Amino acid sequence: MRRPVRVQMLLTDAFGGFGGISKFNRDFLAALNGCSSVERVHALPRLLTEPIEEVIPEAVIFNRKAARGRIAFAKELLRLTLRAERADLVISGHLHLLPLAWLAARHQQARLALIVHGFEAFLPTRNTLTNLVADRIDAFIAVSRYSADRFVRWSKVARDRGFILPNCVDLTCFTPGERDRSLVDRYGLHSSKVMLTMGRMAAGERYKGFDEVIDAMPQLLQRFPDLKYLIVGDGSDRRRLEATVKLLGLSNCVIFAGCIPESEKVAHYNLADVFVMPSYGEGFGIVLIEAAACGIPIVGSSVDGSRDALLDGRLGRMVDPKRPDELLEAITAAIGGARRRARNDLVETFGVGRFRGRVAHWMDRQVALAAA
Amino acid sequence: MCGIAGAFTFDPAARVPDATIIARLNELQQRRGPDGQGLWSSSDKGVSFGHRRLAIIDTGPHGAQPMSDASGRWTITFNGEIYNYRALRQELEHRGCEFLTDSDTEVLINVVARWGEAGLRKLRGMYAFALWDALERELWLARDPYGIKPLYVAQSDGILWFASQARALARVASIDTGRDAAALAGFYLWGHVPEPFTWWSGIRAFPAGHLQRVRAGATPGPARAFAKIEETYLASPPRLFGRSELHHLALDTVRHHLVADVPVGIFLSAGIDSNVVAALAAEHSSRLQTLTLAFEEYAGTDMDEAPLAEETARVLGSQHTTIRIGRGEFEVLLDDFFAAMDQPTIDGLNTYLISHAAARLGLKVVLSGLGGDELFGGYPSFREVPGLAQWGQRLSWLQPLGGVVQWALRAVALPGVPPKTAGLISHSSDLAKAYLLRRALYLEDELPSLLDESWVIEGLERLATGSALSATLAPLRAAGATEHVQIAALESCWYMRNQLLRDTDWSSMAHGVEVRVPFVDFALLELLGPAIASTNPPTKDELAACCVGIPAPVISRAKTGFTTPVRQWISESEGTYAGRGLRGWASRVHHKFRTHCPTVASAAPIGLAA
Repeated sequence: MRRPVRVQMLLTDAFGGFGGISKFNRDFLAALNGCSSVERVHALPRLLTEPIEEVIPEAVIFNRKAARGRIAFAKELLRLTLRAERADLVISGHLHLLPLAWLAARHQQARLALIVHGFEAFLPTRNTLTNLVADRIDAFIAVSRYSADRFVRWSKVARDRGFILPNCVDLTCFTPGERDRSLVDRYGLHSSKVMLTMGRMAAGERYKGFDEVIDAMPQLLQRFPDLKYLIVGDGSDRRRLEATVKLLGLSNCVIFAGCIPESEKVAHYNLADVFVMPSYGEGFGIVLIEAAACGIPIVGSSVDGSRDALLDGRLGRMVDPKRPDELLEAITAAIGGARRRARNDLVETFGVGRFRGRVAHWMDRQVALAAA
Repeated sequence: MCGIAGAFTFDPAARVPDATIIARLNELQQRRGPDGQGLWSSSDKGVSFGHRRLAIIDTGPHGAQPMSDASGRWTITFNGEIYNYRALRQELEHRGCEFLTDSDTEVLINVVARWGEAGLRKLRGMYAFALWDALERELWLARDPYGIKPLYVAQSDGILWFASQARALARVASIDTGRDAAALAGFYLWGHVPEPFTWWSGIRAFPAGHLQRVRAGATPGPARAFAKIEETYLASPPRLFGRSELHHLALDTVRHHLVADVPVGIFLSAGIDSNVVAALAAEHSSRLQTLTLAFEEYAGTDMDEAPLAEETARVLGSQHTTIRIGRGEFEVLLDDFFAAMDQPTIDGLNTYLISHAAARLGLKVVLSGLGGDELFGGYPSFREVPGLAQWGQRLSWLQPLGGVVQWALRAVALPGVPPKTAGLISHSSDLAKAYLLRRALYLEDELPSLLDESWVIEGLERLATGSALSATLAPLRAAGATEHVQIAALESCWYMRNQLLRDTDWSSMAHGVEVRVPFVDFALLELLGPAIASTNPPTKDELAACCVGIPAPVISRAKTGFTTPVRQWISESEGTYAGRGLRGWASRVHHKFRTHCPTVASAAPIGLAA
């Protein structure tokens, strides 16, 4: 029998964190906890922004001290790495943490794996060291084929070291439901058609396609005069987008909801008649599968990681964000389509159980390769 | 000795659980009782009992359980043995009681029916039972004073559940089977899950020596103690015992433990305790069957126990078998060993292996010398713990530096220095702490390298180990008892109850073998307690000296101690696990329970529809 392994995982954030990467990491740690090939996981987060409300899986030691700053992070990693019991596998949860992870792995003669989420790994980073050690990894996990391809293109890592691990969604929590009356009141959505996008508005990235949807609004309003575009999320690009909306005279029908609490997320999805995200740099797009789990018709992108989330078009319509006519036609068809919403069973591809199974399979392979 | 289970819907508004759930619990405890099974429900289905039977006394269909008395008022499901059932039966018959069977079960029912709660103090044996009083519509749950037999309870949605194995109860869908932080921290602290906690949040160990009466329609109150080990030593004034008195007491307890309608064997090692049990048993019976576990690795060496045990067997004229086990058998049996383990523990392997052999020899009942160390001061802890505490008092000025020294010793892990050395200063201020230091697998400050701080903080807080240990000592300290008797109480109420007895139970019952422990006998403790509390407590040597037939080498050899290769096997097989030896083994056991325990990983919970 092969012995289960000890894992060190360097993370941006997970428990007590916020956003897609944080969620992926929480799911990933929970999945490692269920792996028979894992003895224990020492997780070192760089950030801890919220109080931790989740139960930490019993095989995971979540080192809160590491989140106190760069020096604390390095110190905790050093302390862990110098211990008598060495780790067998070091996982860098983000490309930016790779140099430290590489050092830790090298010192412990452990395997080194990297998790590739999306945008951060599409091009060489500004950190020379990171770029230098990128091809020293033994394995990598990418959330989509697109992310994997983009990463491989510049890092020269062999593609067969990669494993596609799509994000997951809790199908018991994200379910189709009626419109929440208080939210309808809050946003003034009475008898309106609702188009929804959920995502960060980052000035440095601008790949989620907000501009493209706003540009399509005038024509959509001709077809659906009571249409409202609800944008959930926040970020450095919000002011610019708000200005654009004002300039186009769309202030009445484009609503910036800002950040919402996690507990209101499902209800926000269930406000929508269509979820739209014509992105061109999305690593995967968790929001797409969350919307799909709620049974919302989806219009997504055909040119990035969204392809994986939309199962190449089987879970939602795919459009080229640079072609306004395609976008317009797809949104029109979705809003004008069937009234009764139902979840497409294919979304079960992204269930938590399947995610855990994939992680267990990957871990088994790492253990086998480490032994070989 | 059997497996019991059941459910009592005490809340009239609650939904009565499906009878198939109790049948499933019976199935899950099948290994505890391969000879038969029974189910019983009250007419309104508010009470359901299950029973798996290992037939030992009145082995025919009459002895089957759950059993009702002649009047039909009482129904019982019972796990254990009442060794003085014949005497009690006579006494009851004198008072006009009539019996339908020859079983100790029916005697137990009538003891309670006749004498009520006071009757429990008359019982000599090991037991856990649930008794339904149809007249008062009341459930009685009770467990023997030492806690030899296990009993686990859980409460959910107006239903009180109970079973012999916590792992079986953890399969009931409505019970909270989340991980208990106290269990997780406690497991690494002690090497077992300390009572009353269990691995699963919603399940509690029913306290030893306690009785709980739950009426239909009322919320269950707490269980009440009817016998406490730590109070028994001083129940009468301390006094010295002579050799003949000691012999008489030891002989009496062994005689009681031989009661059975099937052959009784003896686990015989080269240690004094089992030799005494065998020698005393030989005074009662000419047809003795003895059994020794030996290891291939030790064959022909000084460490081999087989030759000494064989010598004893020859002198006593017993029918003897030596079972020699090697690493191969260990590895073959390991999966089943984990499958049988009720809750995570670092012990139990020796008993598991020898019980496996006993079952193959056709034995159902075996006597063991377990408990001799607690009664006759056999452990090194009887010397070391008071020594530590004295040392700590002398160096009390160092206490403020304890943290620093501990930190320094941890930071620089010196080769050859045991990891617990760092706790010498912090754990020597009193007897309770010194005891923990002696028995701990990991010390409190080591836990954060094994578990997330959220588990450690909550776990240690809920365990409250210091005050729980002190509570055991409180009545003895108040009475000014000797340190010897205080250690005896700690060993009996902690290490023996939580580790030795519990592990002996599941690891032997996994093979349908009942292990009886003549030195863990409340009636004996009541008699011997004053001697243990005296300034000159009886020793192993005195115990050995009052028996005939123990070869001299056994007595001299006992002083050098014994070892088994099990630790070495464990060490080698655990490979990469954190920590060496039993520490690494603990991580492995935890890993097994996390990933393979069917109650957690894969198997569907029972009664999901409920």
